[in-house]
Amino acid sequence: MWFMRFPIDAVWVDRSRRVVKVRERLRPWLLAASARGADEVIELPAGTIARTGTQAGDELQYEPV
Amino acid sequence: MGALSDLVLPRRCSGCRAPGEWLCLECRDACEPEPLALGRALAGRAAGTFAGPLREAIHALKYGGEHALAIELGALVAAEVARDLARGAVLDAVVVVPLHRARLRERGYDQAHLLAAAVARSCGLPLLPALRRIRRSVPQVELDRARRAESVRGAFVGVAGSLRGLRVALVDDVTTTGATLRSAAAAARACGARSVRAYTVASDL
Repeated sequence: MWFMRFPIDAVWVDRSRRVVKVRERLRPWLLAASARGADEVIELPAGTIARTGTQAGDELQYEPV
Repeated sequence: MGALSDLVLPRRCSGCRAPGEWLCLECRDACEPEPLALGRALAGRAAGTFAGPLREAIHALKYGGEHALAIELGALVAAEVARDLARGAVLDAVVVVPLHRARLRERGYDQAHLLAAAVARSCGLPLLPALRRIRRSVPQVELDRARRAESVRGAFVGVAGSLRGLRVALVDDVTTTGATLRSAAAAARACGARSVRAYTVASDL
């Protein structure tokens, strides 16, 4: 079985859930892990950032499921 | 507590119905551990295939609300972790693939968490609750059905830097497509994990 690359999008947010950094289509084993001022990091299906136009400064709303 | 639950619900093997344990030694011996085919980016092992006694046991764990079974199945997973450790793999912590909270409320417990706790205890590794599941909480009325499903599917969120430099053993009960494990592994790496290996009770890949 040929391996699917399975890239992801990653969004780093600060305490007020304001986006401090976005990285698109990261290959999971090459993740850049840090972002200054970040409190949480969100893993998303690749393409989510582009589709939603998410960028630094945006405020995200999310809740536990 | 164990004695009381024995009175209420006598322990029987999920495989052969023999009394005494949730998965008897013979049925445990019948499990054949295997590598998880998750691709180059993520190595992992399952204690067996999702069939026979193991399948029955996992169903009992998921839907029967049986806590003690988590310890027995956790021991099977711990054996796979120990096997890797014996072969020179270095692992610093156990991280669980979290259950959706809605399901947690419905069941009252998180079987993957119970499993991971048992694995961590057996292997002497800390259990780190590094990941959570989330969904977007903006109004979704304007979204079409497909997008809504995607949005509800949920992403993982972790505390930035909380796994910095750690070599992580990711634990879940069963994997079918591998997608959840791969997502959780990516999230762990995004939290700074140096490396991730995945472990499940059973593989349905």
